[in-house]
Amino acid sequence: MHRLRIKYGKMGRLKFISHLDFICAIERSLRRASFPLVLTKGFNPRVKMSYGPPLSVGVSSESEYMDIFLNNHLSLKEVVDLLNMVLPDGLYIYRAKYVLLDEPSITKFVNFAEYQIEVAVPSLGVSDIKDRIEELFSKKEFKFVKKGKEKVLPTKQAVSRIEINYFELGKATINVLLSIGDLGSVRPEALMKSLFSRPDCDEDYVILNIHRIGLYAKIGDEFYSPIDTR
Amino acid sequence: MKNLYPEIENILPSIEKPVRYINSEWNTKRKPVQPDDIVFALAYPDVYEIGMSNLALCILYEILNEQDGVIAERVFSPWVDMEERMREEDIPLFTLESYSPVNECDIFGFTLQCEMTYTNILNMLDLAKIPLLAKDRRDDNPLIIGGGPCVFNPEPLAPFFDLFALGDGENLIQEVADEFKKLKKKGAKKREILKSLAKIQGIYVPSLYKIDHYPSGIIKTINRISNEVPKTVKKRLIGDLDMAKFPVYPIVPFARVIHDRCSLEIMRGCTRGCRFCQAGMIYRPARERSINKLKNLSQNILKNTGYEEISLVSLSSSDYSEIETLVSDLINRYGGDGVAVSLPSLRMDAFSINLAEQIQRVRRTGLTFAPEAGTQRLRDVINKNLTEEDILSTAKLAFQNGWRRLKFYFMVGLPTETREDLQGIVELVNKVVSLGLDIIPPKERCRLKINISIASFVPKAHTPFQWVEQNTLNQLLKKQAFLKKHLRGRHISLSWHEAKLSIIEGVVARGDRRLAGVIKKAWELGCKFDAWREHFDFSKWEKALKEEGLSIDFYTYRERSLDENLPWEHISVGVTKAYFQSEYEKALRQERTDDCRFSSCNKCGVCEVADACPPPRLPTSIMPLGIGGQVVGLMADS
Repeated sequence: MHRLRIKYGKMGRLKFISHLDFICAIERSLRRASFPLVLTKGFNPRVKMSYGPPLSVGVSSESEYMDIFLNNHLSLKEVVDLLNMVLPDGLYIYRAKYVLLDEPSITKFVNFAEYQIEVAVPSLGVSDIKDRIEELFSKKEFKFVKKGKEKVLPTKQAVSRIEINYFELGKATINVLLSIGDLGSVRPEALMKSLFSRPDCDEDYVILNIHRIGLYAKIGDEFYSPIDTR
Repeated sequence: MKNLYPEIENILPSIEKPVRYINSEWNTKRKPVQPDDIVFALAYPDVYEIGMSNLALCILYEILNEQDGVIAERVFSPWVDMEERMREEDIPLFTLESYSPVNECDIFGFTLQCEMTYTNILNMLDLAKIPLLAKDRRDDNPLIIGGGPCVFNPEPLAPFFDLFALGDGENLIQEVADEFKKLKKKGAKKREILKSLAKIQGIYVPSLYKIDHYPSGIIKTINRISNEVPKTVKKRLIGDLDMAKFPVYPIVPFARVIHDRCSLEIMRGCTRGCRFCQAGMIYRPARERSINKLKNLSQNILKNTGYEEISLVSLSSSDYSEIETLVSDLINRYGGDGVAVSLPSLRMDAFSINLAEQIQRVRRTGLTFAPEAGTQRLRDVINKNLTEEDILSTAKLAFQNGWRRLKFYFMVGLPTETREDLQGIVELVNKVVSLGLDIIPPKERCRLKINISIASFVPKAHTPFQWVEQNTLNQLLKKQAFLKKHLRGRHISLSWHEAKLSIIEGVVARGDRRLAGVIKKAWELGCKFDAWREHFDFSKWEKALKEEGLSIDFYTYRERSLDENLPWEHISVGVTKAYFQSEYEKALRQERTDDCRFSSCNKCGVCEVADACPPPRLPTSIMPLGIGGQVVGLMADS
């Protein structure tokens, strides 16, 4: 058995399909490509695969990862080319690489996600946003709501970095690096809420777009992607 | 044509399931429009997940798109949240492939699979900004056409539609598209187009027929207003199913649709002759696809879609002559890749359990039994000719072979039904439960589950029961209450159809042209998605009937006399009225009629119109048990 790690993108209209829909679409694409797939045992055999942290519906990404298990070895070029031929528009394979069978899973490995967020903040200027960011990092704890439950993480661990990439006419493009995985996942929406929502006034911000740029493992001070050669 | 996608994209993030509206599925077709091309909007009047499960739509989509100069695109009912946003932003109904306004298409075709989707049709026309009534439409509005099983009584929809296509649609739709294209190029007006299309066999143009009623409401006459159209419109029939195009590039949906698998139609029509079953009458005669064709099709479809399940579709799949060979061939070829086979409709016998065993080798399947009635007497009335012994011995075999959950379908409100027949359902179910407890090892007994689904009988047009009175709402509710009270226990779970829904379905199914006013009124009162329990509002339908001066009593709580003119008198499915009458009389005498595939011809009349029809082949392997219409369903366990 071979374990293939694949880096792919989910863009355009396909950002609207859920993770479960995506899994189904990938399994069918793999069957169309006639890959030598490994099936799970049991009453309902499925294609043996594993995925990274799922994307929310409406969020696009240019760096998602999945592992596919194969019975026979295929060349990496073959994998990328064959699969791209049978994928629906909006899904695209960038790279493939064989990894060891006992390598930790993508979800275990990854602990940070980078997003680019476009947000409309009509009543704020660049310096206001900078102030808000400073204010956020000045607090020791980052509080957010996830599935209706209040959660708390040390700010440094929850949010590694916030950068204003671009600002014009009340619209900001912000790049953020947020905790994801076992230690706690911070959704970009939660960060925006904590930056731009104030209890004393009406919500005056609208998220226009969220795009995932990268998934990383922070080991020491370095960031590694799940497909980097280490 | 205008591309509405930029406007639609803005509202998608606020929609519950945007995946319904994004197109981009594998195998969707996007043909650029050339001058003189015709654009055909193919609609299913319900939400995406239901519409995408419909095989007819899938067949027509591929046939039309393969035709030169014809472009077919899909349209479904937007769900209520989407509709609300579309109306707020003034976005008209659009096709999925090119996001064009439906009103800019040439033809807007609906598949009519269920009466309770009719208000959705009006809602879709309204969303498309197309006048509801054919007489109010202009020449630049699309031609509104309908096909599917409900068109065999099209009258309640007649004022909304320009034409209906009756019977097998594969060739018919191509002829309509071709003729339309020619006429469009000539710049023909709608009147001329309709007159010309009405000459194609199987096309019914309702505006060319005039219906007169007696003061009682009963139909006096049905007259054509032009000698150029037929007195009786006969359905189209494809004699040799191998000659009918079957899609090999079906669209693979993203969203979990109802039938999320490759559907392969192995046979069309059924001659078992269950007297309540409209499908069994209107799709006659039974025709098979050849096994070689099916092997070929399955290979291509699996390759082109990547599906992990292939469903062998027909009204009674164990009647397919070579079903065993076909199933074992498919399992041998694809089972190793984890591709399962499912059989949604099988007879209830040992042979079917053997098939189910084979299918289980790949993926666990559920078993569904459809005795429909609880006593032998009533099963004879409806011509569902299986004995209690058949049912129990099949259930026994299923338990012995490891099944722990069985599903049973019954109907209440069947003609001549009495308290004993309902008691019969209770006794039969209890016998199955104790049989299960006897056979299943003690450790596994807690897993024994008998799921009972209770439907209410709805008399339909073109069946031997087309004259009978439907049970009243009160009668149905009492019968349901009786079963709810007596079908109890830890191993039994009971579900039932909404009785009020069955009553309205009964009204519409045998309705006449005057009923169009009621459908329109119901829609104006807010009815839509009537087939969805959470949206169905009986009181609005009652109000609509009242306001139009019509009644449930007239349409469905009344026994029709045999010489009454029925609203579908001018529509022929091939089976004669005389045959329906003789079957009705036999039902009342509790006499059975055998399946003509295993005995002599019953002279139902369909073979006289089916000149190209090959003689049916006898499925030798299942001959000994081959009477009656026992049905067992095998579906993937979910």
